[in-house]
Amino acid sequence: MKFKQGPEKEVLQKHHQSFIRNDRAWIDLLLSTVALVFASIVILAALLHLAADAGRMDQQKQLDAIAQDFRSSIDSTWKSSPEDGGKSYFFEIYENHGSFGSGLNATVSGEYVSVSFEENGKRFRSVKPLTYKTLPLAQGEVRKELTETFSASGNSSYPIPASYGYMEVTEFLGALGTKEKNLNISTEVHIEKTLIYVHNLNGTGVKELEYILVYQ
Amino acid sequence: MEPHNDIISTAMVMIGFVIFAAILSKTYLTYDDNSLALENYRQAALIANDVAGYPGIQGSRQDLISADALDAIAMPAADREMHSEFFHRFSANADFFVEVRTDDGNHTWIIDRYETASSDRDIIAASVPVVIELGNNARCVPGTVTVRVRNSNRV
Repeated sequence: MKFKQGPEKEVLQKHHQSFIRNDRAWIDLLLSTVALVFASIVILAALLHLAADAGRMDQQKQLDAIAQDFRSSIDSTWKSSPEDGGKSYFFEIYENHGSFGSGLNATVSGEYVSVSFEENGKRFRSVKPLTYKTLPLAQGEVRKELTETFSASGNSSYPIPASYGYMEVTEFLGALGTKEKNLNISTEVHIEKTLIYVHNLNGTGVKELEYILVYQ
Repeated sequence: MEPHNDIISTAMVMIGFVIFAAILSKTYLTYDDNSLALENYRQAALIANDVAGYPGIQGSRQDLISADALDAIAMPAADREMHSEFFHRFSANADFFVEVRTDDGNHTWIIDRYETASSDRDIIAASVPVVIELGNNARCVPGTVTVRVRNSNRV
């Protein structure tokens, strides 16, 4: 039993056949157009990603530069004399003119300096190790800690007694330096060199222990 | 032929972009390495100047370095106390060693914090010229103090 096809269906079939058997490269055109669209999407996505990454890398480099500058400022104090009175370091220039605003944080410990910045839940951080022995404490705090532990402030008038030993003093100061101290970047940071005097074990003469102090 | 031209030009744009990204990435990595090397070089130069003027290894004059003092603290350290005093000033994170040699190559001293320190990492070095006082006859010879910082500061 045969059914006669309607005129609309015949027209559709003719179109379908002419599309498949066409010799005018319609399929090539369609495929190349799709490929073009995909390629454009990939290139645009890559460019956008590259731009975003470049921004992040730039901020990381700026943080590295700030941390390096702060580290150099602390390390270079080693050459100075305790009588020079030390120097001041200011983060304000980065706060006012950099791209960080008030989101910049800085910390210092006896072993390293760290500068960080938080934006949209992402934290950028740069840490630089210090070259010389450093304590994140003020002169008065160090002397108070020494007096409480060794019964002498360790200045030239009151050297630490020989009974405690040189190693015990350095270990105690090393432990003091491990505590990380947050710095307020809106105010100046004082950096100075200090000497801690310890009696030699044989009781003759004193030994000088040199430290850099970083405090606000 | 027109659609094929589109594919070829698109492929060329893609290849061009990949090459551009590769060059950009290589440039950034080189810049990053160089800036880290410069940073370490500054640290090495600072330490080298400090070591050259360290009173503990001074000779009969302030501008001389005593070979006897170097013998005492060079590896293996004959005087442990003097050796630990030499490194006491430096933070534990300052990972470096010092090489002192006479220009004629007859004498070399290596001063390192640890005897078993690894030396297979990248190293940045800085040198300063010095005069070394050899032995009791006070013969002075030119030499160099070289500080080699082990490149482990990338954080």
